[in-house]
Amino acid sequence: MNQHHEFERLAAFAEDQLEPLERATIEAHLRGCEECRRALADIARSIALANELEIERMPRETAAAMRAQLLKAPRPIRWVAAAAALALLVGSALYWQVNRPWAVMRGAVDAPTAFEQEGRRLHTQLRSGASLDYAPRDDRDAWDWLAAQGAPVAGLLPDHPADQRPRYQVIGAAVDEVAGARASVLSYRIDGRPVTLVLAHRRDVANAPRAGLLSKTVTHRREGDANVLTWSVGGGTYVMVSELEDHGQRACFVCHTERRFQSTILALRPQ
Amino acid sequence: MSDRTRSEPDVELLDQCRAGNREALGRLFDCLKDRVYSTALHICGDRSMAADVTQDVFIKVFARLSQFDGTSAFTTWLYRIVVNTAIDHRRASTRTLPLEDAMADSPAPLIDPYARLERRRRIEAALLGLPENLRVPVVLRHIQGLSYTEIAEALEISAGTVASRLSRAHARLARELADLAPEAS
Repeated sequence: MNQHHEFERLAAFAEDQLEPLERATIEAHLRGCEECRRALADIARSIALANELEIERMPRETAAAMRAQLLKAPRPIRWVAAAAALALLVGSALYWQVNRPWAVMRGAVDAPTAFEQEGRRLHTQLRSGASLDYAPRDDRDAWDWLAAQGAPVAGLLPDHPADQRPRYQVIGAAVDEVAGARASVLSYRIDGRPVTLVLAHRRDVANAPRAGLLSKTVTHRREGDANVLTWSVGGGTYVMVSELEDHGQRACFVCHTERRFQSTILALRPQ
Repeated sequence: MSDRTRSEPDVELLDQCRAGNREALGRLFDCLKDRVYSTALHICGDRSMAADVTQDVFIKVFARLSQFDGTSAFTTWLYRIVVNTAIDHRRASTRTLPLEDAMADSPAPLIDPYARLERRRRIEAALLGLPENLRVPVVLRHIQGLSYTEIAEALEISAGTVASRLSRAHARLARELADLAPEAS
């Protein structure tokens, strides 16, 4: 193989692809280099031979069959798209059936249920200094502990964004009998204000709020300084007693810290 | 260089293809199929594989048309897909054909006398004997008629590397075809 630096550009030289200055440099080298002159002659001959080759047409029958096949392709793609759309629809329906992200809040008109009253009583005890059985490190630890006790746990566990975590402090967790139902009790401080959450299986709660197909109804009751919110979702019935000032919207962020739920919760207004 | 008039598919045709117009997709296929097939054939050295590559290339082109942003020529974008697909097929294939036979079933053009056809087969065989990194620039330059800059864009290498690879490729081809003189033009 020719070792001269100029060799690398001989094909471009032979095809007149070089800038004038570069071409002049190669020409100067060629004048004094027999080896590169021979290499250039070989390369020029090879270029001429390669240029004899031609674009070869695809056999007509092959092309016709391929064309038909390729242009038929959109049909299965449409079926795939339709199947994907159907799967998305079914998945969405199942998702809503479980999570019911659309929340409607309404003012309570009926007398509070025993479950609500018990939740309110627990909250009063906790804000007066009562402690719960377990002091968790964080929310996740609290729910893990409750699950280990065989207590009801929420289908949607909170996953607070890092910038929101300082707002939430889980104080304690316990398993208790609330209005005849085995319930999980959680005590929080949210923005420094006390919040109590009680969860039981809906089947165990008398007069539990109904759960809609695609939404959940959150009943709101104002009792003194406290907002009492009750709802059912995912087979569970919840009571949350909070002393936050905005009808419990911020309290709802105990669970609804994820961005996908915030828009639905932000739209909450008591009716 | 043989007649390799390359025309870019017009913007309107590409827009219609992006919209899923089957008639337009058919026209695009008709316009490009021989270039794709021929490139694949000279990279793979096997007609059946070249047909498979061609089909794969058009499936990819039809699916990715919306990704073609027009920053390079359409054909440069196309050749990049062809080269990569052909190389993938060749590497995945366990079939190895004797170089002499690889192009032997080439249909003889009626105007070609036997000697001319035999010459072409020898040149094609020598080309197939080059390593891939040298063969592909020769195919794109001398069969497909791309400029050095277009080859550089299609292969995502510098124009200087294209020039260097072509020099090395032709030096090797010249040795393989030492007894062959170019046809008088």
